[in-house]
Amino acid sequence: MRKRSSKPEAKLREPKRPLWPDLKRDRYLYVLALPGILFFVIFKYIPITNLVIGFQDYSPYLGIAGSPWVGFEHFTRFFSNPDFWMLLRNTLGISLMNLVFFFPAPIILALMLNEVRHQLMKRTVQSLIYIPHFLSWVLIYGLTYLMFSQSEGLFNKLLTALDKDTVDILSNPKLFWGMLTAQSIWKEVGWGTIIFLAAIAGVDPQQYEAAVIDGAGRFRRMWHITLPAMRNVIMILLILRLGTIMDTGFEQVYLMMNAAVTEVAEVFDTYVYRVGIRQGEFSYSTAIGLFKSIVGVILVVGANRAAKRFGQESLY
Amino acid sequence: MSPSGTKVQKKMLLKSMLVALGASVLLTACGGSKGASKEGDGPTPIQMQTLNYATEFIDNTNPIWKEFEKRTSTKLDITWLSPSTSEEKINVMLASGDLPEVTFVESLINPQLQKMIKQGVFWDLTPYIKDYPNLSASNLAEMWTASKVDGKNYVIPRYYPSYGGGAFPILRKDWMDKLGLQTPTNMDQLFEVLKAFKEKDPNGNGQADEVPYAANPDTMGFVYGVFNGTQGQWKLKDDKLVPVITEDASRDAVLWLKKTFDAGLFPKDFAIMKYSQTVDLIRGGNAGGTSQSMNHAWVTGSKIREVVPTADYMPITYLENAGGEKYTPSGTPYYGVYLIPKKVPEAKVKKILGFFDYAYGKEGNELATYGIEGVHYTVQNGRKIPTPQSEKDHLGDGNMNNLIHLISDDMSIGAVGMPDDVYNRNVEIVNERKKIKTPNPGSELYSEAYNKYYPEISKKVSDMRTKVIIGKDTIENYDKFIEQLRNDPTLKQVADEMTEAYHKKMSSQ
Repeated sequence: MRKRSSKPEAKLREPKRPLWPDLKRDRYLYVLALPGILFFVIFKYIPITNLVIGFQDYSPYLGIAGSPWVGFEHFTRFFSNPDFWMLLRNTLGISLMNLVFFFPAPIILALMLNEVRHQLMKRTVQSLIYIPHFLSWVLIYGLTYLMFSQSEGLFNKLLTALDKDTVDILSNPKLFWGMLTAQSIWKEVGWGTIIFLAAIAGVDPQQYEAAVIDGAGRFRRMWHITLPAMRNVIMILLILRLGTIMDTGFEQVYLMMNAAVTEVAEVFDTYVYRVGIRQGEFSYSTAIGLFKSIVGVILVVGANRAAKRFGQESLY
Repeated sequence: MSPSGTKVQKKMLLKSMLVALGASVLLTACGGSKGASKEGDGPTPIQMQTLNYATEFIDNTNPIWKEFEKRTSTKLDITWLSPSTSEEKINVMLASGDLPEVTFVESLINPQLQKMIKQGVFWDLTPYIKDYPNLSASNLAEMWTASKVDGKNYVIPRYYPSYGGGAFPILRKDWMDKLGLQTPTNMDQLFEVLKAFKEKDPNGNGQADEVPYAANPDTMGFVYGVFNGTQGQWKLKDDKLVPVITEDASRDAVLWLKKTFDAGLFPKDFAIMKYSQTVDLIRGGNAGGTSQSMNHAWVTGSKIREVVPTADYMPITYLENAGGEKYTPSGTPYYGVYLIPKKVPEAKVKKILGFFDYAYGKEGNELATYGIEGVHYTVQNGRKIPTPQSEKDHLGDGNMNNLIHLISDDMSIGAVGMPDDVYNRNVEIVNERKKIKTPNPGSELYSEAYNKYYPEISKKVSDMRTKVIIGKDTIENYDKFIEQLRNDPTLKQVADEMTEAYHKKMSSQ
């Protein structure tokens, strides 16, 4: 809808106005938004009500209305499961690795691209680094296997050619998280630059000119002009990212997992898939999903508050 | 605002409303019911759904499909499930409660299905079966007995031969002949054969580049079966079911696998290879064998011949453990089950059974697999030779033949285009295998605790085994882990419930 006020005014608190005249005035805009609103209501909000099966012993035949209520039984079973801590550790570990190494990568890359003066070069590089985003995880798993497996992997073949012992990479628990992060960076770093480059494009060139006249070098300009211009976008993306900290990307982990690394690879998503879908324990897996969502909501709200307190841009 | 401006606005409003309305209609249409089918004198419409291994799915324009409709006076509405997604789809379908009139479930011990059968969602077919001569024929009797739930026939089993299927070694006979080796009949001999594949250069290129056995953890399940002299996850001891995973024989199996891996007889990527990658490896012509069902003697064997024209890919008959118990894979004489939900009226249940009766009879059965005589095949020397039309109408493995399997061993040991010598040898092998009865006491037993806890336990055990085999963990840790499991109350509960289910099954038969 239309942006009603800029920030400083908003703090003054407008007197309360009746809703109806506003709705009437903007009615066409609302009608235009209706399909989108319907989409969210039908596919996002109505399904939320089905979360109640997390508190039931849900049977498809009896339906939600007829299934017996079991209270927090599924939650108790989940939290008292000795694997709970392993799942939590792996999920958070993989997410934090992503946050620390993957999140800054597109920012750095965007800054670097911004400094490229040769336009053709810049565009070519941009286009090339977008490509991996469009590959599916199955393909990326295949590529990883071809590069790093012990019998066929290019990397190990090189080692053999140099008369060195082959290295076990794919079934090594110590390297697993790093491997996942590296894959994510390889796949998504280029795509991630788009939004940052857009933020950079909004910078008034006069600021750079003025800085040059003041004698600022390349890094000074980057630090004092480009980065602050990106700050809002970075904050918003960071907050959103915190909300998904319990999601680790099911496909990637599931494909990369093997018997030798399960201890560091099993995460909530793969566990829910195995228990919920394969074993048909819908109530149990719903309870786990609900737990994940609640943690996500807490993190987003918390991060948003913190951002506000430090006077940064926030989500709402 | 001018009057014309208002008009334009009204038009806009109307249009955007229409768009919104259209969108909502589309949305609701997706959730609409599809169960409405009219009864009448004409052909009976039947909705069914089943697994289909074909690469191309047929529809109601296919001549075989039409022929089935004509001969059974039905109007078929078949939904094909692709094997890669069938497990999820079937579970979701059961969960939604929106069941087709003929519901296919891949495993009778699917927990959702078991609950629903007990809740009375499906027709008890026991009283009807005897009225259908083909369904109640004596060659199918074992299939009906084995698929009973609480002594009643709720399901129409989808026939699949007991012998010939299952992952069991198929070895490169041409390599064995070249090195003068006998077909192995026990684990030590198997080890020696594989070792010779590694060291004696059977492909004759002067390099030790052979992979003796294209293995991954899943393909080696038979090793535990051989050492334990039993099939499945349970062993009968003193009239009780005990889990195979905690048996000492399973420890020996792990050690055998470890020895084999350490000797370099498995691929280095043993732990991470997917099944398809082991198949690629054997097809490449440089591997000495892998574990597959007998029809792969040609399904996979023909692919090896494209690379190595002299390749001969031969299933072995059995393997024996130190106690002299012979092991060969066998199963219940069906794979997958069909059920009819109670919402289907009784008259229609009889029509549906009539359809299956036709399909399980000789005529309907051969129609599903071979098509129409003269059009899709000709008979020469008693064997059906497919015509080019056969391939055009997608006969062979898949489609109608997956709805109703061929009631013959050919289902598990034959393949399209299989040469006579390979086929005849497969027949001999399967006849030898049939003499071996490896017990499978846990077969088709269901228990609540089993479903809830066993998959987790079993996964941990198999991860542990793999780690020990590839040297990421020690056998001492394995022993500690198994000792813990032996005292684990959950596993004990699972075992007790399984024993109870076993006795119940025995007494109801």
